[in-house]
Amino acid sequence: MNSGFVRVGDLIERDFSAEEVDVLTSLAVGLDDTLDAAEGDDPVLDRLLPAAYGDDDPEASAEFARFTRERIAEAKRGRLTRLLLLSADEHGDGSRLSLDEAAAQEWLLALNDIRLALAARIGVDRLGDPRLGPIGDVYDWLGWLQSGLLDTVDG
Amino acid sequence: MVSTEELIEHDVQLGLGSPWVVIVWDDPVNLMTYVTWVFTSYFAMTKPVAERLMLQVHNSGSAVVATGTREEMERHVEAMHGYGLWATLRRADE
Repeated sequence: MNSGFVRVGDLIERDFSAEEVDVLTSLAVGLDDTLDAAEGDDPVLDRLLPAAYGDDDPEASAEFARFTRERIAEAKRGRLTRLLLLSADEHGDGSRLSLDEAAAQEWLLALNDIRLALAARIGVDRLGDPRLGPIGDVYDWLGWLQSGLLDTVDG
Repeated sequence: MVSTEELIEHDVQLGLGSPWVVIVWDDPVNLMTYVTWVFTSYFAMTKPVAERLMLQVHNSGSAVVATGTREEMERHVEAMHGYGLWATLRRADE
């Protein structure tokens, strides 16, 4: 099924319904808050800012985190802020998204982080379980949306 | 004159003694097309090479995607975490 992204000249565009904007906005704000705190035992942070040396060398992983964690988290938050411009553009019945090549790449990374965060909250073992209900539908929708954007960027 | 032992020690300090590798691990969330896109975008791999590595990650659970000095590999791992790929680094000979 067509994900709705279209090329218009050098731009990639898509119409978002007000409901779609609401879903994306609340997920992006939630993840932004999590990254802002950026501490504590949180499965989302464990996945988005994983140990660079795995379990092999916790000391080197901690050292790496000390130098990079804030920088990586800030870059992710910057991309979420760009994504949130969508809701600033909303006029009751929805929003028209218009992305140049650089913005489309930022969207791809931001959507990926949102999917990773949602999956970590759900628990990756439970993904695809039909009993998940609405949250499972949102997760599937995000994958479909990211896949469609990727095809349009790549195509 | 500098002894061979000193030169070897110097190489090890510079990270020239044994290379480091970046490993990307399989993840049930990242789309296969996204992982391929990251490899072509960031590492400037050709699409066939990127697809082969992506499939290795998917089928074998992990793949080495870069080799070099520790500092270079740390930069790559930082970039991969930016993209949301689950990447780690370690010495090549382990």
